[in-house]
Amino acid sequence: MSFSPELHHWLILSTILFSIGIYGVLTRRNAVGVLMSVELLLNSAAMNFLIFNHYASKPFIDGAIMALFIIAVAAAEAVIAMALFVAIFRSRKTVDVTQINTLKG
Amino acid sequence: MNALAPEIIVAVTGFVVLLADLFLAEKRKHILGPLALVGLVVGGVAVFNLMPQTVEALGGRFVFNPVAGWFKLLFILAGAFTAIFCWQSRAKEKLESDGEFYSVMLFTLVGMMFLISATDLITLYISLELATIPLFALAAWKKGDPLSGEAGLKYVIFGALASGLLLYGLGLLYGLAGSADLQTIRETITASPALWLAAGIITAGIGFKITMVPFHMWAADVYQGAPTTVTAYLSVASKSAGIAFMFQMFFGIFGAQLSEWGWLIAGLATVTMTLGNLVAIVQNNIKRFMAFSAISQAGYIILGFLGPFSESVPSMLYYLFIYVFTNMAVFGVIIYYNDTTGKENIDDYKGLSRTNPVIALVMMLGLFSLAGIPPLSGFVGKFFLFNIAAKAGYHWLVAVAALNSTISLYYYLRIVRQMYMEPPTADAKSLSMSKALAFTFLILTIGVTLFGVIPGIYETINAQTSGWLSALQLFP
Amino acid sequence: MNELANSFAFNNAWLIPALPFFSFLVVGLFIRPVSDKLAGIVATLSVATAAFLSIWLAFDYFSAFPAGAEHPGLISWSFEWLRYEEHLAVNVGVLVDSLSILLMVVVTFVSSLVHLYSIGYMKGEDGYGRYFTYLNLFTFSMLGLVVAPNILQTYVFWELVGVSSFLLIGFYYTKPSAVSASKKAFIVTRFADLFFLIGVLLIAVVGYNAMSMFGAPGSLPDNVSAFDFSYLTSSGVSIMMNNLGLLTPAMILIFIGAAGKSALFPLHIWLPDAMEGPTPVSALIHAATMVVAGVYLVARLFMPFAASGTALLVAGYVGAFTCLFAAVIACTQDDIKRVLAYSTLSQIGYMIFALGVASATETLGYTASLFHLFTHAFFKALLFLGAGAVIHAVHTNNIWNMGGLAKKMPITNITFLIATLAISGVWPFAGFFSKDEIIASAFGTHHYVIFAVGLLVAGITAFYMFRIYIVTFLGKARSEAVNKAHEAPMTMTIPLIILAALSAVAGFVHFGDFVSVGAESGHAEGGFPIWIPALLSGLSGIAIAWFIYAGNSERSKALTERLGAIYRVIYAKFYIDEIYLFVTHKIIFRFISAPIAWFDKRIVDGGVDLTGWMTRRGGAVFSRLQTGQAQTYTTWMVNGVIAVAVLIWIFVS
Repeated sequence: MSFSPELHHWLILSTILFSIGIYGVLTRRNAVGVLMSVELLLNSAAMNFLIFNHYASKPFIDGAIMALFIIAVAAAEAVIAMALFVAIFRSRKTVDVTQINTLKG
Repeated sequence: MNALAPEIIVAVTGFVVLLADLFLAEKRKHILGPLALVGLVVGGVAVFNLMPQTVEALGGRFVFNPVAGWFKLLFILAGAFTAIFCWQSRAKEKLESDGEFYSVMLFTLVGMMFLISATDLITLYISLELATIPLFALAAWKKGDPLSGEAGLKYVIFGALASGLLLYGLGLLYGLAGSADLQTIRETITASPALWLAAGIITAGIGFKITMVPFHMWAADVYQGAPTTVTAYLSVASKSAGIAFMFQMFFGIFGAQLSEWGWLIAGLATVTMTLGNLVAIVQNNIKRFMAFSAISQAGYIILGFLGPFSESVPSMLYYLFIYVFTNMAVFGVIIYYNDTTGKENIDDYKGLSRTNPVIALVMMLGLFSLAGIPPLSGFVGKFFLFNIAAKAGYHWLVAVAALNSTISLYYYLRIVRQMYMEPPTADAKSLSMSKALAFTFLILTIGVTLFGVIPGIYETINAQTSGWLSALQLFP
Repeated sequence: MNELANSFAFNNAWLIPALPFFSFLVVGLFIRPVSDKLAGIVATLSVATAAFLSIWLAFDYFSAFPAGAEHPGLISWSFEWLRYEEHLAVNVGVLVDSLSILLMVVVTFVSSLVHLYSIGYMKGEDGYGRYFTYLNLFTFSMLGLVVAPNILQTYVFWELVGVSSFLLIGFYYTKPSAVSASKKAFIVTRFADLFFLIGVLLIAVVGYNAMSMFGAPGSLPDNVSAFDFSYLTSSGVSIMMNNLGLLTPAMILIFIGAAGKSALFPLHIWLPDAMEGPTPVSALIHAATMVVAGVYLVARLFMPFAASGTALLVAGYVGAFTCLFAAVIACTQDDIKRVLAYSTLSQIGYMIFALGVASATETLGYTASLFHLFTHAFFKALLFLGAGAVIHAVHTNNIWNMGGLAKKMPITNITFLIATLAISGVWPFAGFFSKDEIIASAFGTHHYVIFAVGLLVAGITAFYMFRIYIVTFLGKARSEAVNKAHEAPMTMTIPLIILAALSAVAGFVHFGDFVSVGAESGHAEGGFPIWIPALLSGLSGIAIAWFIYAGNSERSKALTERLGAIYRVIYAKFYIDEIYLFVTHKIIFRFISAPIAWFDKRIVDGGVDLTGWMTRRGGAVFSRLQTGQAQTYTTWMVNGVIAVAVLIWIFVS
């Protein structure tokens, strides 16, 4: 018996990814972990675009192009974030986001 | 002229500054600021040249129209003031990486200018990210400073989450309409739970950009930690870009649904201005204080989304136009004072009127304009926005907004009292100011005091934009 | 284009108010610190140039629209300041019509003479330059007021006039009486202005609503604003207001504003005290310009006033009462300036009641009123300036310390006599013609009570004016100072001579041909020659004054003693000031203010304190949400998304 995934299967998958991403962003203490969770969010969104392109907008490829761009943007974001983390690590010797809380009130 | 000309000019300037920074000798680098300024002025002239027309480019994915033109002018103006402040700043951190600062800022400007002209989701998203991601780096610009780094970290975490959420919302919209074209989306979408979810998520993405409560939490920390020049840029240009994005989303996509959402905008406006005002009262750091002041200003601006857009967009543009001058005047003083003395607490402004009467006056006028005291420009701008809310039938909201203006007067006066009533501290002294900076303050002061009473500014905005807006037919 | 398109004076009419303003700025900022002498000269020249331009403008205007023809209102210059709606805009502009030209000529002319006179009078005073900047500011405000094409501009300059007169009355700010007088003038007129503002808003709101429903009247341009006089005086507004029952209340409110500035009973109390200012200021403000602002306002809004007969009637009776009341007080005062002040009140009363007896069809009163405004400006300014010359010479205001000044100061004597004859209504001096016309208008419209008052006051006026003339200039010197007195310098006598000449001949102008209202210009009733009883009344007043005061002073003393209590009551100005004091201190302060103060201190302040405390607490609580933890922030954001989405879901679906 062969299982052929439908639209809603794909959407459930992307939603699961999205939820894991949100959970990670809210709970990971290591900044790099937070960043990885954000990547999950972006990927789930990219996946959504691909899915919808396939099911709802077939002759056009806007969704697929969007997914490519999202990968590029995610890379750019990661570059900036990682550079920042390195800079912070130099001055604070930690990238634990719960420890970085001088600014408040 | 090509519809892309202003963007191309600004982007090329960015690259030229970047390259010049590499090849110029250390002591000639002071020309980078004027170079960036010239590029911005030329870009502004290009916008002016295109002004009353509607021109397409990139196969219709990019369109220049009068509203976009005015937004672009706002961005360029904010960028130009930021460039001047950076150029004239004597702070240590900028000396190491002046050229990069200008070019990064110019690239974000290009992103903002694309944002308001985008006609499909892809262009919209890419330009929004171009206008956001480099700002993370700008916030952390002071390399050795742990506070600046912390600001950058918080900004990047919050911004990345906002961007991920927003993207998810945009994906839902794409799925609902089966197209990435904004106009097609507007015409196809119908009320459905998925649309509500998409709308909620996108509102959050917008809320992040314009510091709308409860998506504002990053703002205070980032504004305080970032270099002051960057704070000024964030509070003016980035916020205007957020309004541009909100305009694209609310008028461009949700147009038909908008009348049912009035209460949501009204509610968000209420909590935004109230919370911003309340928290501003207890602040001691002036940059943090200005962050909350800027949050409450965002609450006033979104009142404009309550009315019919052919009327409210000119009012919002006018308000933003005044806001650029007013906020830049206040931040100009903060930057200047911080650079020369290293102080940034409200108490440090004690007796400023005795030691430096001119900048104290500029500051006072700017603060009063933010509070909306007639006849300063801020009052007129607010008046138009309140008028829109009142016309849309939200009289209670106007009352709330007026009450908030009164509260804000209280805390703006706190600074004025420090400057004018308290004696200066022992180490306070008269500070010198360069001619370029003095001239900039003069222009800003004119904007703060006279733009409200000079007739014709609002009329010009209105005449150029309302025709295009009413031809839009967003409500079928 | 209009008939005046090629007139230089018309095209540049904005210069008339602008010149004193520029001079105010330049003198105040640059010249005053350097040279007092130059300040006086520049200030005087600027106003004189404005006077020259006004006369030129009058000449051009009345050449284009000759006597007897219709006199249209033309906008010389207009600037749209802010447009709210199609029919609601705030403009600044210069309206040229016969009324504004009349006021412009009077104001600039008298003002330039007062400037010139002040050069001599104020010599050696502290704050000489400051004085001229104030005078310039005042002249600017007054001119801005009279050229206003809309009621909002009128209101703005109305307040500005109040401010500048406050500055001028309180010029000797080291003198407590001057300071309290300036405050009194400001507060009383401000109090009246409040009613004016309410009236303006009332009429503008109704006018605006009428226009947004029915569009602009056909005769007016489409973009006419609800504040414009051209619209407010059109019949549609009056009818609309009347149907709503708002016309009479609105016009009475506006009239209260006019009564405040024009010092009509019972808001007259500030004017006599305002004599604390320098005497030329009294001549300018309290004779020729500021106090006639109320007359001007009623004349400007004559059409809506006339449409509401009641409001006009109220004005008429208030005017007539003030006219009599002030004249009676004037008979008993010993201070020469106070006599003149009460005389001003009385003459303003004439002007107001003349307007009051007029109507849309019987417009003689309108013309007569403005005619009297015109002639009165010259002879009353002359009287004040003459009094100023006398005070300058003998350093006292009390007439009983003067006497016999005719020989010492011949020019002042003759010019003062001419003015006295003019105000007494003796042919052929100016006052005869205008006063006669006023009395005739009251008779012609069958307001016999007012007519009788007018006739009686003509006699009383002649009596008190000759009383001070005789006591001051004739008889024997009654103090040492008189023997040392000598004639005033040239800068002071030249204005006296010019004004005397005008007081003598201004009456021969066929005024009604130039300044009138409505379709037809009003004309005196034929038949009974009113001038005979009017002249007789004046002459008998002179005769009685001569009998009592000329020669020996025994008769006047005897008369004073015989009148006893009545004299004292009148001398104390009917105790009006005391009544005000009693009402404010004993009644308002004790029974209204004190409880309010208690309420304010305990409950309102408490409430405010509580609110302040709550906002600060709120700020502190909310700022604690800002924990500094990035993940707290992101949690807020995610919760926010969920909340917004759920809210939309609940409310929209």
